[in-house]
Amino acid sequence: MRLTARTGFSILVLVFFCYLVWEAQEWRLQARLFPWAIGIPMILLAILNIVQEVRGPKEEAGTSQDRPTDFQFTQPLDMSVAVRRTVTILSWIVGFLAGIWLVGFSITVACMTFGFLKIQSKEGWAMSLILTASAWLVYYVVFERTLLLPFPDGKVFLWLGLD
Amino acid sequence: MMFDAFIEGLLHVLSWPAFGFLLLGALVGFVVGILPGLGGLATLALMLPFAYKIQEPISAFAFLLGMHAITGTTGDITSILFGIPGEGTAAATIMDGYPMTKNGEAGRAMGAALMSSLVAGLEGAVILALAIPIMRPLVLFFGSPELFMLAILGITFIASLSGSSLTKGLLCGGIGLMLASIGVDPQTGTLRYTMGTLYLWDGLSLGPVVVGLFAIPEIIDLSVRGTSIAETKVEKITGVMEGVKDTFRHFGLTMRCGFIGAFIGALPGLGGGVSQWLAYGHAVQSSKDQSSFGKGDVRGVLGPGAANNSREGGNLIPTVAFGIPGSSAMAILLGAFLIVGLNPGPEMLTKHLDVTFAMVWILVVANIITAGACFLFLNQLVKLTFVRGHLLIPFLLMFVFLGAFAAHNNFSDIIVTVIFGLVGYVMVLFQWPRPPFVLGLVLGTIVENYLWISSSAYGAGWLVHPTVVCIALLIAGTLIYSAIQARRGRSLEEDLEKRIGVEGTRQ
Repeated sequence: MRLTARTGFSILVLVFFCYLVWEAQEWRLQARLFPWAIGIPMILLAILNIVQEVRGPKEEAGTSQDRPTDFQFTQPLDMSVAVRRTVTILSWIVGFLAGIWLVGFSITVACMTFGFLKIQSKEGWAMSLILTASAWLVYYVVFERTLLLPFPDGKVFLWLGLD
Repeated sequence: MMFDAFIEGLLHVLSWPAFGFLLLGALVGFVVGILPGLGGLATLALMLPFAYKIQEPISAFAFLLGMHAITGTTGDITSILFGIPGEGTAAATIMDGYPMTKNGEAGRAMGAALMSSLVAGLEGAVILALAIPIMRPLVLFFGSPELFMLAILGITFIASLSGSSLTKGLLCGGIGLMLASIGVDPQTGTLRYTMGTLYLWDGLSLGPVVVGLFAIPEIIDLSVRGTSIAETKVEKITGVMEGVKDTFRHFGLTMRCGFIGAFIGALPGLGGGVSQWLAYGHAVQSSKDQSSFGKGDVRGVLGPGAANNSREGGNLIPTVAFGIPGSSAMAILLGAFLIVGLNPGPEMLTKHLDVTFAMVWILVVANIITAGACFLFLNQLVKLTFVRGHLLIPFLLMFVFLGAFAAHNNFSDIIVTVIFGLVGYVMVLFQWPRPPFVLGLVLGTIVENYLWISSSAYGAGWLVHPTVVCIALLIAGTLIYSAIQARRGRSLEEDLEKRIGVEGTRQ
């Protein structure tokens, strides 16, 4: 028996279906008919999938060459570089999200674009400033002025009473 | 009389101010289609009040229908170039369109998507023109049990294309279906899986989920690679004409996928996203060599590109003929009918036949205008894929977050996008296919409705309806065929490995 991260994910899927089916037990028939009609067969399938994973041939993540109907990650030359870059970009994504929540779209779009270009991409000042200005203008003209999207103020302004 | 109305419809569309409104609608549709997250549906809802101002029926439809018909085509552009679906319904084009861009074939992919969209858009319009008198018995033939089974067939069809693991494909479809049940149950008012948050009462919205699921893993990959989106450097951007030729090289496939789009579009409730995935599934299943799909096969672009546009003609069939909207967008358009003083139904096939044919012509003219405009700007757009990835990433992230927010003007949608971005990343990493997941999510609410109506109307008796049994056999056939294919593929691989081993020993 072999337990890998891949199998761990399959187990997570099984737990997901078990939870959804269990959660539905208290509901009226109309409400639980669909979750049970789909969820119960899926629990059986998830168990079958785990058995296949544990007993099947070893296959590393992202190496399958058979007919995929989904894109596959580029095979990196150096795994440690790939992991470092993945963690870095995920930090930027989460940072972008946190920035929007804290200071709103307007400031975040400018700061994150400039920050990414200057710190992460190591671009020159001129290139970073021009691209930041372009990104912010697209945001402002299209989304704020033309489409009039009601962007929320950041929480920081709310806390400081400046909203 | 029919022919007179047909010609009269064309003259109406080309006359002023209808043609001016068509151009205006095309411009709005073009921009909306390209901006990720801002769906054609939301824009149609936003623009509907203008119908009050326009009042004249053909001008109002030229503006609204022309705008809506174009969002599908331009939605494909960002799917192909950046892996970010411009429209929720344009996600299937990513599967092979984006890998083609990475292979330096963005021009060819765009040419193929646009030309197949044009051809199928025209096909959809022709189908609409021909089908109106004969569609009634066919649409009425499909009751809730049949529509439920048809939806399950769709998910099975896509799941069966999930490489060697059919189980994973089916599980992904199941995850999508289960997630679609989040929110207030419309029958009983029960709060299902809302985790105590008000946001989840309305359920998960498709836009933020699809944008996160598809765009974020691609952005991560772009960052890890550290190159431009197009990995292959080319001296001159060519291939647009090659893509156009591809449409005619695979003309049968384009027409068949166009038909799938129109047919699914004509069935009430099954939207454009479904037809695109089914068309993609058909493109893969009907090919002898399936190994290149998902890696940049032009047939994987032609199929969804075609279905995405022809569905508009199909959608209009039940809307115009019976007043039953073929999709959510058509439900909004139905509002326009009432605003301009028209009653959908038999009147549209007799008294207002010229307006009905004008709609056919609006679809034709709008598709031609879009294809022409896109071809004009294509080279400039394709050049973006050769820009270094690190310069593009902040822009892509901005559009992902803005797109997620623009769907419902809700910050929680952005959180959903990031969460599903991470889910998408893990799915790609462990090779769990995302297409069945999205299809399950798209179909979930509809499937549940059909299941409930079937059960309450017929008890368990609907399971033995002849049409239901036929579709069930088709589902079983699809599963068995896929399992045999996968087993055959594995044994061929093992055989090849053994042979290589023997050759190696000899040497």
